[in-house]
Amino acid sequence: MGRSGSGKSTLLHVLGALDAPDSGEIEVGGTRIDTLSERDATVYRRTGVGVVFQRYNLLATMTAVENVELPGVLAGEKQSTLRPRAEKLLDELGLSDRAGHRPEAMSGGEQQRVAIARALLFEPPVLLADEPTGNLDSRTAEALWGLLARVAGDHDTTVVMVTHEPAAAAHCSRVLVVSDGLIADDFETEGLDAGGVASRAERALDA
Amino acid sequence: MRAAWRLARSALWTRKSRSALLAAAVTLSTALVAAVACAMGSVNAAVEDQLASQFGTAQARLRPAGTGKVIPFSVLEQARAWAGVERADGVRQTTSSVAFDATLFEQQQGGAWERVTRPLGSEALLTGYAAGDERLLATGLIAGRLPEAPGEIVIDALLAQRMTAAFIGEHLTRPAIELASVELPHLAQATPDLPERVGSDAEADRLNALVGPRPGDTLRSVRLFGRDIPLTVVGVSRPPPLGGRPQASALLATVDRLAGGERGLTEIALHLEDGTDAEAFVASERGGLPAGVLLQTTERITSGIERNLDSNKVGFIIASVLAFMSAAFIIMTGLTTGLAEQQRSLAVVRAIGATRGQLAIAQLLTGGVTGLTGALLGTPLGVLMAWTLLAVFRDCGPGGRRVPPVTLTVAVLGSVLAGLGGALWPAYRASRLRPIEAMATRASAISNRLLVGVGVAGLLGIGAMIAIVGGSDDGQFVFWGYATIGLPAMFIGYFLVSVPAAVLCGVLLGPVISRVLGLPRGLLTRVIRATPFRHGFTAGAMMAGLALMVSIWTNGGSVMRDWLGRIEFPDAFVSGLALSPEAQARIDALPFVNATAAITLHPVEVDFFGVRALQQYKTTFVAFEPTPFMEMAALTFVEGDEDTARARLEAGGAVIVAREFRVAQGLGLGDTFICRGADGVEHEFEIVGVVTSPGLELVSKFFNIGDEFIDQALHAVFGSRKDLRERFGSDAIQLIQVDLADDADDAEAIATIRRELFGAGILDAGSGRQIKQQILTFVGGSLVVFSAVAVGSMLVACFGVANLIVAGIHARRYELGVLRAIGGSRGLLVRLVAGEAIVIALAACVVGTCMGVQAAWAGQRLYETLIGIGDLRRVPPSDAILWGCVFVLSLTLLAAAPAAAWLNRRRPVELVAGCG
Repeated sequence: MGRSGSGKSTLLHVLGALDAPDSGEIEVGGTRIDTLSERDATVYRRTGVGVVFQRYNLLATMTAVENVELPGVLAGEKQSTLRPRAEKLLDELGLSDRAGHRPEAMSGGEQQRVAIARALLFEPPVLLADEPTGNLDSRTAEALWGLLARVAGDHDTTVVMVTHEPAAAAHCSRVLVVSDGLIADDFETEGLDAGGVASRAERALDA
Repeated sequence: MRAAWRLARSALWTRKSRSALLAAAVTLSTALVAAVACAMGSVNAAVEDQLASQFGTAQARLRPAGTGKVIPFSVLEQARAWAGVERADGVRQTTSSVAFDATLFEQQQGGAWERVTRPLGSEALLTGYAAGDERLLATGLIAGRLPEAPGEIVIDALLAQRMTAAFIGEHLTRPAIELASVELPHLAQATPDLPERVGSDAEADRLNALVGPRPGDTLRSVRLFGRDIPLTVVGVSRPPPLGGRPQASALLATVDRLAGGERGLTEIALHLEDGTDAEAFVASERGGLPAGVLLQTTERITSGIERNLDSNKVGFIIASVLAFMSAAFIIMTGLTTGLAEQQRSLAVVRAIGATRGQLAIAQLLTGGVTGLTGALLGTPLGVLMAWTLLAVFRDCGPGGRRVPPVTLTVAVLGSVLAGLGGALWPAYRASRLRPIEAMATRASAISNRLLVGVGVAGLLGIGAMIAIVGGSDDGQFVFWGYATIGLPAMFIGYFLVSVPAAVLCGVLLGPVISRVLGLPRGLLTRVIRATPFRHGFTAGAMMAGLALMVSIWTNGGSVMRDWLGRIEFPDAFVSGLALSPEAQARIDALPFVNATAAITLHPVEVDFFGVRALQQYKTTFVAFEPTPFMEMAALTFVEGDEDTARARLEAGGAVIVAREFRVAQGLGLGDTFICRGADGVEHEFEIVGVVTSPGLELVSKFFNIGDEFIDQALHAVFGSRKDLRERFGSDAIQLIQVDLADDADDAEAIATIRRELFGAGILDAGSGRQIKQQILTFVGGSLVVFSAVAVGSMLVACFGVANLIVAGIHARRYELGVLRAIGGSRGLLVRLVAGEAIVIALAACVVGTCMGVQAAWAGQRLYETLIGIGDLRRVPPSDAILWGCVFVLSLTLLAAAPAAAWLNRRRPVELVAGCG
């Protein structure tokens, strides 16, 4: 969590090897991310981490199942092995009837669930979500947060989500508050509701 | 690779309409190139057929050393006895006036149609063969059979046509040489029994259409100075593939008799045994020949035309390269625009694990598929276009249908390479995409420095061409430098310059256009300024066709006005293979003739000259009697004076040259050079005068005197008949120059001359005015044909422009949606698109006109340095430029119309929501 420009998205980007830090070290699951070569960074983005962006970022030219398969295609896997996995993921996320639809035919919530399915194709240990509900209504957002929490448990995946919404943070087990590029607070949310999270975060940002 | 293919396939298939537009542009380019290849193949095949019918497959040939001479029959026997000779066939050629006494219907006073007998005739070239000569056996008959006995003759369809009722009197005014356009309906029916008279015009016309020579009919070889000789028609043959003059074939004995004079052969074809080296054979046997007989290999004889055919192929390849470069630029701009539109998507793909290579290969595959589609669709389309044209214009498509594999392969490969080449830059751009930057930005302003840099790079390319073409007077260097470096550099240079040109047009003309279209101030200029490369390269795509049109009309106009137009042809000419002094005397006796001068055209080789790797130019030694010729020709001396020149010419060893010769060779008054005749003996001549061109070299080509396909003599030296006799061993008269009375009518005079000389062995007659008019008509017609090619090129570009405009709209649909969302009307967006199209068109007009003028300048430099045609003024043709610009503007607006219509139908939310 953090205010605009605090560096929370930047943190996510360096965790996902989408950007390189100016200094320091980054380790994800025991792997040094900051020293990866271009090729290794690409493989890491493909299989070592899943990314869900704010603006769905599905390829408009592909169907839902093709979007989910895409990382596998990029890795050179055959469709015979990819398709069943992709369909299973879509089914798990309640989208089996949308498998053949293009993004333009889906709602915002559905598109975001497809993006989550794509991020889970290689069962990464970490899933990065950059304000995944920023473009959704509150009800759809609520459903998506619940989905992310379930996915974290079902797939044994650590979900790192950037958000400025306390309601979203309340679904997480741990909150890092970022301010001016530094971690201002780090607390667990057990026993806290959205209001409690918001108060705690506000105090950290005002300090 | 599979991943890259999946990305490429998805992009191509999902944006079907835009993919189709790009593919259409490449398809049309390929079709144009393939059509030209097939047309060229047809013409080249016709030339080869013509050569085969003229020269057969002999590897060596014996010819007389002088014009109008013959080879003794004994030489034929000598040649047959040579070791290494499998077969030797002799031919004799002569001219003859041939008449058919036709029974037909003629309308009398009072309107009645009565049966009469009239002689219908024409001059013809007769060739006599031995019975088994392959050239005789290869005669394509359309009726009857080959000659088997003396007195039998096969006439070609051109000659047969001139002896039909439809041609009564026509031969007196029509030139003898024409393309093959022959209908002979009378051959399909037997000679009808004709009544004494018929009552109606329709019936007379129907019966007259059946009048004409058929196998079995008797003709007369009309001899003005002797008795007519009867000839029996046994067959009618197809006209030669490329047309020409009326011809007939017979056995040697027949033609020998018709020719009269010294008996002998005009050529002996030698077929050598397998394994015999022709060059070595010629070298070993030529020494044993009698004086006045030459032995040559046929490569030496046909090498001229083969070089000419090769030069056509070089021209074709250069034109194809330009066509495909244009297509590659269209693809490059289209894919780059698509890349900008897909930037966010591609960034995501990078973010989820695509390598740089996969994105780059996806772009290359997209380009490659587009090019391959163009090749697969465009090649058969081009072949079909060519075949359709050849079927409609049978006269102009002489060689039948040809599918030349090599040049068609150029078309296919060029299309694929255009696709791949056009995808190189987008592939590089795609590979450099960094995920974060690509996702963060929507648009970035193009710096002025980049625009200036692109403009400078373009000017360097343009300057390189100017340096190459203007920096040397060596024709070889100029030609090859221009063809290989200068022309592509200029092309690429103007493409790059199109970018700042589009921006400047937007800045300078945007306010005016905005006012006219009712656009908010500054909006149009900002739109152009935001994506200058897209707008600039779109303008570049349109400029090529306009540049071509401007260039050809500038040069064509210069040639017609400043060169051809200035040549003063004498009043009239009569041509023949070997005209007699009696024929000249008969012309002299005509009341409207002031004077005549006998001229011989003799091919020689000189020490300099020509584009050595391409067309081989020889020089014509034009021999005349100095005093009568100079009185008639009214030459204007640029160097030297007439009296001195005349005296020196009479003395011998001297020539006068045309001004173009002086410009091309740098030789003038007082200079000497070596001339070699066909026998290789060298003779030195001094130039004693430089004159404005009398046009005799053009006249000789017009009358097709001599070996048209072999020697292209664009330049002439003018010497005395005395020198021709003494140094080159020839004195036959081939041309009689006629000075007509001031009040004589050209056409009537020519008709009278032909009528009076029918039977005197003339080949053709024509007035100077008529010759000049026909040459100008031919040049004008060529300009129209090339203009059609230019228009075709613009149409090709139209598809590319349509794609670019559509892609541009899609790339900006979010911004356009916002414009609508904040109050802009549908009409505003449509007018904005129209305004952009107008700016693009205006930039194309400016750049295209400049490129056309520069290309015209290059063309004139080639004329100056290669063939010495100087003093051409560069006057850009305002009409052609105006119409070309109107066409460009119309096509650009037309190309933008579908996209504008699509935009007009969209609601704001559709435009905004379409992004993401």
